[in-house]
Amino acid sequence: MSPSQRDHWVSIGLDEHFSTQSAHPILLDGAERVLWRGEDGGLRLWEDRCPHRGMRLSFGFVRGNQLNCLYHGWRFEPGGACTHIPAHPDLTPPESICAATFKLAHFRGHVLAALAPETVLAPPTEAVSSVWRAVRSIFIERPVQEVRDALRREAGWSLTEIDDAPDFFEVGLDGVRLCLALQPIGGGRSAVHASMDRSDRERRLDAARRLVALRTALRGVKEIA
Amino acid sequence: MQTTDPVALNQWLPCAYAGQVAPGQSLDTMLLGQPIRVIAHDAGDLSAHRLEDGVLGAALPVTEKFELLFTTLGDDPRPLPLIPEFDEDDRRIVNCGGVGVNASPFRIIENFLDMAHFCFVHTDILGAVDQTEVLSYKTEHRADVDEVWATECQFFQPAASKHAATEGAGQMTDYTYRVMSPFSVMLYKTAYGASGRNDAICLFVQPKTETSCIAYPPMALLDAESSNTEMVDFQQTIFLQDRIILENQRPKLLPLTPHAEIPTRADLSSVAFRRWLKASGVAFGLWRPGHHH
Repeated sequence: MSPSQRDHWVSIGLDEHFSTQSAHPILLDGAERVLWRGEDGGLRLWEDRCPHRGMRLSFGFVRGNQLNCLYHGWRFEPGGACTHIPAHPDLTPPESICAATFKLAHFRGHVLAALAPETVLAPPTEAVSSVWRAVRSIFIERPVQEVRDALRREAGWSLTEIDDAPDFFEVGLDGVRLCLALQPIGGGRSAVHASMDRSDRERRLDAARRLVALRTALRGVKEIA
Repeated sequence: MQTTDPVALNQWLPCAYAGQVAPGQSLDTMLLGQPIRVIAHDAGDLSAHRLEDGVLGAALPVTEKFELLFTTLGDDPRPLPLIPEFDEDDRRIVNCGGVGVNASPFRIIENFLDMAHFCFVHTDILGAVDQTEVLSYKTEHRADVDEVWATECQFFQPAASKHAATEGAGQMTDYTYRVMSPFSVMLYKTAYGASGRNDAICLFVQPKTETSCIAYPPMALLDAESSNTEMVDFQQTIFLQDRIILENQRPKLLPLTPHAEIPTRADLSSVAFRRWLKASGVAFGLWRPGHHH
């Protein structure tokens, strides 16, 4: 039995774009997540909701390796457990107070999340590791299906699908490889994240330009009734 | 579409603030999903009406109090609260207008009751980063008036506060909170230089829909020093800081299911408020399964 459309790993962005001690809102096919990086460089993906009064944790601030909620300053450590409640500074918070955590993976410079949190599917992996560099992330007011079709049509690239990684594509450009991935955002929106297997400023700029042109082309597409 | 919730319908709710609609003008707004129109007649009196597909419909009962125009969509609304401070001769009554916020009315009420956020959301105004503890306080349901009260609340107010009359070190400020209805709350706060008496700061919420409201914060103060502009600016600064929080709480509708959200002892007033909401049978503005957000 093959896995459903919605049970695979998707790119939620490019690793280099998430600086140390920062928190970012991620919309994954309509689900609100927070992606944050501690001073140790570790990335964490949690539900974007503080267990206290539901404040979005993506508005919070990172100090050291702890994410602090903006509302009441509750502190959470990398595993998700709450370590400090400022209203009760001498209290050790019970273990039951924790943020909801999700698995992450890395692939070719991309950060990956599973569309179905309880997935048993493994994320795509690289046999030989190279250093992949971020090119661009582009956000498009069109659903993933349309962007997928347009990628083939508009960007003028020859796309190769990557095994076991739906919506990940490789583009060969004179010995340089581009890795493109589509992210469903929700509400009829999606993103294309692009990385390259080496630092090559010219090719990076060219790729970025083509992605912008893709978005422009899609803006001109009439709604399909 | 107007809500069918009888508890929400049978309330006096604000629909405009005093002076908002000039004689000869009207204001279109919404209450509990029902479009309404507030009309200021040439003689100065105000009326409110249902709007059905843009057409002026039945007149609604209105009453003017606390610098606001109230109306009701119900047949037997809960009476407006008694707030004698608004009738005291030596008080300054400050009309702070209204601020829109895209949140459930109950998130707004709870935020007003909460002290634990002073240090983080209202830093150097209502709280200081190094004095975050919320000391124990009491809550009670006053059955005779069917109101929830939180008493003996204290919080450290920093000296930098625009609203502190004293210079030098900050000091502990006493608060008493009073929930007057599902959509209104007020606090009594130590008035500097007038021992034994309190400033009264109110919040009346107009729920337009379950996730969008207008909040009106009229005040009855003993402060003779600050100008009206300073008062209103202060109130608005506080409110705009809170709005960033209110519009980003999830789910948007208040969840009453056990374990959905985790209170601590500092949240006693919110716990009492949720228990009271549940007992009231109100449904509007509360999270329910199958509702997106």
